[in-house]
Amino acid sequence: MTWFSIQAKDVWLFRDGKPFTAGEDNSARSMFPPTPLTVQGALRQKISVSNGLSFSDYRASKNANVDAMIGSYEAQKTQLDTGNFKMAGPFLGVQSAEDTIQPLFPCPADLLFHNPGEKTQPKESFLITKPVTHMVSHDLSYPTERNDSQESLKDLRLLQVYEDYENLPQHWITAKTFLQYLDGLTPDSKVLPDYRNYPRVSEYLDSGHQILPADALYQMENRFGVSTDSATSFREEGMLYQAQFVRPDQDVVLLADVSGTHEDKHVKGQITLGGEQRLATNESVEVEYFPSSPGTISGQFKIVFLTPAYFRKGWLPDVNWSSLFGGEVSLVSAALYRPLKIGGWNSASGKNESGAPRAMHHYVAPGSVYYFKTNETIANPPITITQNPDKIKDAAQIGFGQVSYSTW
Amino acid sequence: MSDNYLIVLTIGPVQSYISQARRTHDLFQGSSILSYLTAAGVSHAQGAENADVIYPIISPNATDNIPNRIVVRVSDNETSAKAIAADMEKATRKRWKQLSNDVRNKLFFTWVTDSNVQQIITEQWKPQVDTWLECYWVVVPENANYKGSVGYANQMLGARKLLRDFQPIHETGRKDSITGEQSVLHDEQDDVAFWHYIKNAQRNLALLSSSERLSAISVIKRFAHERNVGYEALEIKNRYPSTSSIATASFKYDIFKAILSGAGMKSANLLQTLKNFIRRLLECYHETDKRIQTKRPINPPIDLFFTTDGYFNPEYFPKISALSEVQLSEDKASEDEKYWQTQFMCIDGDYFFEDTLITKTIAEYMPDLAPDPDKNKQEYQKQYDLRIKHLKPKVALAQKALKNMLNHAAEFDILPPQPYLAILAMDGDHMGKTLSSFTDASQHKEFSSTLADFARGPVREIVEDEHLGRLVYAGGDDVLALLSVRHALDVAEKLRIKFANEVKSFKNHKGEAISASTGIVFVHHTHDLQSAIRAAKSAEAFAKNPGGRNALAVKLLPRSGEPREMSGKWQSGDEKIVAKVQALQKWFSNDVLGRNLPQDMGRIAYEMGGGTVPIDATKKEIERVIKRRIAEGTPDSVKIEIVEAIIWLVEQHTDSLQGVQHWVTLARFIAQKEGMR
Repeated sequence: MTWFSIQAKDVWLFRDGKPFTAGEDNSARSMFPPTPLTVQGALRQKISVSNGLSFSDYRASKNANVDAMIGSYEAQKTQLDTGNFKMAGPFLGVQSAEDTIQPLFPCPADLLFHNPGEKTQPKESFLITKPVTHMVSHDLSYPTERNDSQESLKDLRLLQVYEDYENLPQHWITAKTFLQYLDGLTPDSKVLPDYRNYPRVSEYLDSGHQILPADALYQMENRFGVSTDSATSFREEGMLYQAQFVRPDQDVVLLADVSGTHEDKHVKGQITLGGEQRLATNESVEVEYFPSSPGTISGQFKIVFLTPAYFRKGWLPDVNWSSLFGGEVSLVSAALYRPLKIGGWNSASGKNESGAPRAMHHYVAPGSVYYFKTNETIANPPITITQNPDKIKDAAQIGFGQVSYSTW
Repeated sequence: MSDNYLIVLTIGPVQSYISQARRTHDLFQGSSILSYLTAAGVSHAQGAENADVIYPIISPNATDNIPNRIVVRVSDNETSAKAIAADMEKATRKRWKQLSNDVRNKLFFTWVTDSNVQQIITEQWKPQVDTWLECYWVVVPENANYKGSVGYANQMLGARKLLRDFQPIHETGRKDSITGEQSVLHDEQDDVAFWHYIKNAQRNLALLSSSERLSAISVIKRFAHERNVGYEALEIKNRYPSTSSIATASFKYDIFKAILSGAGMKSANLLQTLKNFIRRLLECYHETDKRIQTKRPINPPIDLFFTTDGYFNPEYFPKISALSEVQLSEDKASEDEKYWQTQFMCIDGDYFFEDTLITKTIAEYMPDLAPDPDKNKQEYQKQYDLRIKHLKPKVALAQKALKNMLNHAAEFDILPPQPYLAILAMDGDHMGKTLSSFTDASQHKEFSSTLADFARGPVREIVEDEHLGRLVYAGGDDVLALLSVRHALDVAEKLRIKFANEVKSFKNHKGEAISASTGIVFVHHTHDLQSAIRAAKSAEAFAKNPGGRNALAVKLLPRSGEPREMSGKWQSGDEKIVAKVQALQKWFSNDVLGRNLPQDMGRIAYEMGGGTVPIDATKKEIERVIKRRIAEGTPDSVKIEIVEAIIWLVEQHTDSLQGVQHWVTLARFIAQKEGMR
C-alpha cells in the first residue's frame, strides 16, 4: 500500500445530485471531501493514461494488463469493477511546517463539546459519551408497523447526553488526537479558537489546536457564468448560472492509500478530478498517526466510520452484524450524523455509452459511531465494514466503510 | 411505579424540508405541510384517554403554525403511555400517507391517465414517500420533581435524535430539481418529455417552470394546495409573492400611494403610464401570428399569474390592500380604478426589472406550442422562433413603457424598484431550558399557551398588516418571514419587543427575563432561495453565538462585492442598535453623510483594530474621519448625534472594529435601496 497526497492546483467542483443546467437549474452546489467513487475513478484513469491508453483505447480494451490493473471497460457496464486496484480513503490530510502529513477525520459523533453559546469557560470542554445503563422507551424500541421486523432493536439503548454539550458535525480532528480519543482521552482544547486568526491551517495546528471547523480547511467559492451561443459567441439571454467550487487551504490535501498490480509511478503526477476535470497533483507521501487495527476485540467495543459506509437497510445491514465481524456481536447503541447521499457517474453506461448517473443511496456518514458488545474474543476484526450497493462489486475495495476500533 | 409519564415527540425533516425551495411557494407550503402533519399527532393526543397535551396548546382543529415538538402527560402506566406515543406517530404517518395518496390519485393521475404509466409512477412514488417522514419519541416517568422530569425527557429526546436512524433509498436517473435527492417521476420514456407534458396538463402555467422535474416529495409540496386534492388546511388563501415581488413591494406601495394621493395631473399621469405599462405587458402574451398554434388557448382577460381559468390572482400584501381599500371607500372608485389596481397587484416583481423583463420570462408563462417537440422538432422550432421574433419588439415596448412609468414615479421621489429582499429568522433564547424549568405542568401549559397566542396573533400583524412582508411560519417563538428591505429592521425590533412583552410574566431557567435573537439576511431576489434561507438561519445562530443571545445578527450578501456579517446586542442601556442603524440610514439618504464613510471605517478597523491602539485614540480618529464625511451646512446638533451614534457602535464592538464598518455599510445599503420612507 502506498499513500498518495492529492493537492489542488485549481479550485475543485464535486457536485451533489441536484441537476445543473444554465437557464434551468442554474445553481450547482459542491460537497467536500469527494466520495471514494470520485477519487478511485480519477486514479484509475491516471493509471490508464500513464500506461499510454487514452479513454477510447481503454474503451476498446487495447491493453489486457491495464484491464487487469484497473478493471476492464466491458466489466464496468454491469458493475463497478476496479480489477486489482484497491484504495483506502479519501481522507483529508494536513501538511505541517516540517512537511509531515497527518490525516484529519470527521469528529466522532460521540465526542461532545461544551457549547453554552455564551462567553463562559467550561470546566470540561469535551466529553466522550456512551450508552446509558438503563432502558428508556423510544420509538425504535417499540414494535410498530414500521419497525416490527427489527426485533433486535427492542433493547437498543440511547446515549447519555449532557446539558450544553453537543457533537461537532462539520468539524475535523487531527489523527494524533483521534488516536487519543480511541484510547478514551478527550482533546486538550478548552475552546475552539477562531481559525481566522491564523493565516494557515498548519500554523493553527502548530499552536496546539486539534479540532478544525470545515471552514478552516476549505472555502466554498461561488462563481457566476453565462452561457454563450456556440454559433455566435454571444451571451444567451437568461442563461446566467452559478457554480459552487471548493478551494482547499494550501496545507490541505486529499489522502488515499492505494495498492494493486500497477506501478506507483503510474499514479503520480498531474491528474484531473471531479466536475470540469480540474487539476491536481498526486505524490506519494509518508503519513503519520494513521490508526492501526487492533489484533483482537472483546467485551464492549465501538467502531468509528472514517469513510462512508453503505448498508442495505439504511443505517443497518440486512444481515446479522456478527457475519460482518466474524464473531458473535450485538448492537447496543449508535451515534449517527445525517446520512450522506451518494450517487456518482458511470462513464460506461447510458445511451450510446455516453455515461449515466449511478443510483443515489444513503450512506452512513464518516464520524458515525456504533456500540457493540461481544462475549467472544474476535481476532483480526475487519478494517472495513460495509455492504455493496447495486452495481458496485466491492465497495470496501475502493475506500468505503473504513473503521477504527475502541472500547466503551 | 410512577403514575404519570411524559411523552416528547418530534417530526422531521424540518429545516431541510422547508429550505428545499426553488420558489417562495415551496417555502410556505413546506412549512404548512409539516405543521399539518404535526397537528395529526397533537389531535390524537388531545382525544386520547388519560392524556393531557402540555405543549403546544392549540384548538383541536388547528393545523397551521404548530411547532414540531409535542409534550404530553399520560396519567396511566408506561405501557399505555408508549401505546399513545406510538399512536401519535401512527396518526402523523397516516396523515402523510393520505395526503400523498390524494395528491397522486386526485390530481397527478388526472394529468397522467394511462393506467400503465400510473402503475410506473406509483412504483416510483411509494418508496420516496415511505422513507421521507422522520418521527422520534421517548417516554419517561414523571416523578415529584416535574422540572427534573421534563428536563430529563427533553434530554432523552436529544439522545434519541443522536441515534439518527435512516431508511435506505435507491434513486436512479435524473434527480428532483428542488431537492436534488429523489429521482424525478417519469414514464417508461424520457423524463424531459414527461415533464414537458405535465407542465401543460396541469392548471397553472406559473406553477411549474419548463425546466422543473419533480419527485413525489416535491409534487406534494408544489401541488397539495390544489382544490382537487381536497385539503382546505393546505389551500392557499392568498397568493404567495415571489422573491422579486417581496423586493418590489415597497415600490408598489409607493406607486399606489402616489396615484391615490390625488396629486392632480402628476397622479393622473403616473396612473396613465402604469396602465400603459400593464397594457404593453399583456400584449406580449397575445399570439398575433396565426401560424403559431398552442396546446391551449389564452382566455382574456388574463392576469400575469396565468391560469387556464384566466382569473385574477393578486399578490397579497395587506398593507398595500389597506391603502387602496381606504382610498376606494373614500373616493367611491370606479370599476376601472379597481381593475387597474387588481392588475397591478397581479404583476410579478420580475416585470419591474430590465434584466428579468425579457422574452425568456414572458415565454415561460405562455401556453406550449402545439407541435410535439419530440415528433416534429422542425415545426416546433419554427413556431418557437416565430414566437420569439414577435415577442422581441413587444418586450421592447413593455420595457419602454416601464421606463416611462419610472420617470413619472421619480416626480414623487419614488426610487426605481430595488432587487433585494430580507429574510428574517427569530428564535427565543434558551427556550429548551426554559421549557424544562417549570416546576409544574400548569405553568408549563400557561407558557405554551402564551407562545401559541404570540404566534397566532401579533407576529402576523407585525409582519403582514403593519409592514410589507409575508410570514412563512410562526411556531411559538420560532419565526421565519420574508420582508421588504425597507421594513426588515423595524419588524425585527418590533417582534423581539412584542415577544419579550408577551412572555414577561415568565422567567428563563436562570430566573432572567426571556429574550429572543434574530438573524436577517439581505439577498438579491435571484439568489438561490435554499442558500438564502440557510444564511438567515445561520445569522440567527450567529446572533446567539458568538453574539451572546438577546441580539441581532445581519448578513449582507450583495450580488457583487464582499459578503458582510455583523451582530450586536439589541440594546445597551436605553440605546438600541436598530435605532442607531436607522439614524445612520436617514443621514445617508439625506446626503448628510458621505457614501465613502464605510471605507474610512474599514481603513480604521484595519490600521487600528486588534487592540494595537488604545480605544480612546481610535475614537478620536473615528470622530475626525466622521466629521470630514458630514456635509457642509449640517447643524452642529446633528453632527454631534452622528458622532455619538457611531461611537456608540464602537463601544459595542471594542473587540472588532470591523463590526462597526459592517453596520455603517448596512445603513448605507438600506439608504441606497430604499431611501428614507
